[in-house]
Amino acid sequence: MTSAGLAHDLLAFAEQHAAGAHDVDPWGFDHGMYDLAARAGRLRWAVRVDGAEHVPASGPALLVVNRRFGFSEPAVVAMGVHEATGRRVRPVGIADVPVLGSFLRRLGGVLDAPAEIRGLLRAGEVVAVPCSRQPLHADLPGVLRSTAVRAALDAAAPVLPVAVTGNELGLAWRVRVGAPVAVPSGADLDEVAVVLADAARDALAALLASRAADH
Amino acid sequence: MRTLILGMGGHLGTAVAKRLDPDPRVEMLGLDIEPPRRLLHRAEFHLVVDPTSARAAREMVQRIVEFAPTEVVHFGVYEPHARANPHAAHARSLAFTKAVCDAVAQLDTIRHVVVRSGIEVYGRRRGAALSPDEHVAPAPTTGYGRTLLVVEESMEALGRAHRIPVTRLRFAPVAGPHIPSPLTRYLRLPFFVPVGALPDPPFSLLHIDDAADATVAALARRADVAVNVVGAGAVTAAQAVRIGGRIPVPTIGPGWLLARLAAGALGSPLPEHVIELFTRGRTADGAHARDVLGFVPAHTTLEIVRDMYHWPSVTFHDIAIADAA
Repeated sequence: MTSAGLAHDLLAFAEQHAAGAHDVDPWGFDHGMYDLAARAGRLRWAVRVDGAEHVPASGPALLVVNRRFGFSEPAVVAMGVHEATGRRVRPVGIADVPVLGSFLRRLGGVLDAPAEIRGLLRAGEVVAVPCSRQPLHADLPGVLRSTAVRAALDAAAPVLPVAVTGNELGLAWRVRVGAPVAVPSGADLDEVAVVLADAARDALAALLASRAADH
Repeated sequence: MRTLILGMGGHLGTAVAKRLDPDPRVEMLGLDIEPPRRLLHRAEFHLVVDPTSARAAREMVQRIVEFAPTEVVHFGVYEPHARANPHAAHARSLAFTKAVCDAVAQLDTIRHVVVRSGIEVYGRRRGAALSPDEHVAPAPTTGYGRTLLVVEESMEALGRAHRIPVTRLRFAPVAGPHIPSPLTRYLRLPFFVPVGALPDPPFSLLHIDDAADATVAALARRADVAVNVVGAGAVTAAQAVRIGGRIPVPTIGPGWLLARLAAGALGSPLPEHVIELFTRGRTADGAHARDVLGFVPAHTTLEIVRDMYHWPSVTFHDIAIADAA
């Protein structure tokens, strides 16, 4: 994608929005704006994705993602998975503040609210939920809360660990998608969600460790 | 089946009554501040001039007790600046709700209650989900949302006390030709329409035919539950205004005061819950309606907005009273 091509897309985007002919979903996602931002992002970043075959071709999925500072990871995962699989990813964890929050919603972001995650998974979307930030330990996943995992259980969505490595100031990022985490058996879904969240975090830790070994 | 419809004179009440009218097993009693807008064969209608007066309240209770309904459809819930100012809309909504509660306390015939609520009950506080499902606790942030929640909770308490299932239908803003809605009236203002700047969040609508069909489905199912009924998809205010060929004017903060004054002067007063819709968005997850009511709205939000700009205007005719009679 050249900057001339980007300018052409920008013009087409402006025409479409001036006519009100674009689509916005109930969570505020504007596909046209996302496509434009992703093309601009590709001028800045190169994202390599492994294990994309684990992402289902249709239906809901919950991606459990590590993050260091958390600035670039949501965009990198969304761009990489979309490019590799055609599935649009909904990163969880935007702030509900004027201007910035609205802009990030347009790009597919949603609040870290159980109702938002439940609704998206019920609608068959791919949702990326981050572990807590680990600025000093890039090869360790942070803490994963079980509420998002519980929503995945309710929607019968597979839970996939996704390891992201890269440098905020660098150009190249790598995304590795792991196999779906096996769902433990149990009658109490809240307890199952806690065990599944731990298993997903362990799978993500293993994925990050294997990446470190590769290097 | 003896069905009481409070708010039968409104478009929604009339639409539900029209759907029930062909059924020979149905008898209907309607109460409202305006008469029904269509000819009904199986409905008796009682005009309530001022539902907030003590005399009207007594008459309403007496009528309801005499009719001894088996089903109650409570549409006596009024949106601010639709047909009444915010104060009157609130007072009338509570008056009709109290009349139902007082009447039900004297009856043992009622088997089911359907009450009209709205997704405004969820509110739009900072950090609240933009598209809440029914698991999200209501926390209204506008006067209209609070009125809806009071009505909903009153009917829910009534149902618990008398062991009657109460279906609470949380409608998205209802739109349709000729419906007095402050939202659609505002979006159809000529030339320039103030909308939220950044953000310009999405909102969803529900077509009046879908709202009426959902009510009939609720009467058939008798579920004791709250359920969102929302047209699929969403639009933003600026997008809607552009679809209508108007020019959106991005507005922030104090600009809404000017917008409110200008819209009011043009005959389209702008209540706070509509401003909240423009600045914070208003959608909800309606997936549960499919399971609970076996119902999926036929009209998408985008279709409703596109149709909205082609609805015919009301035409007034001068007809002599003798001719009309």
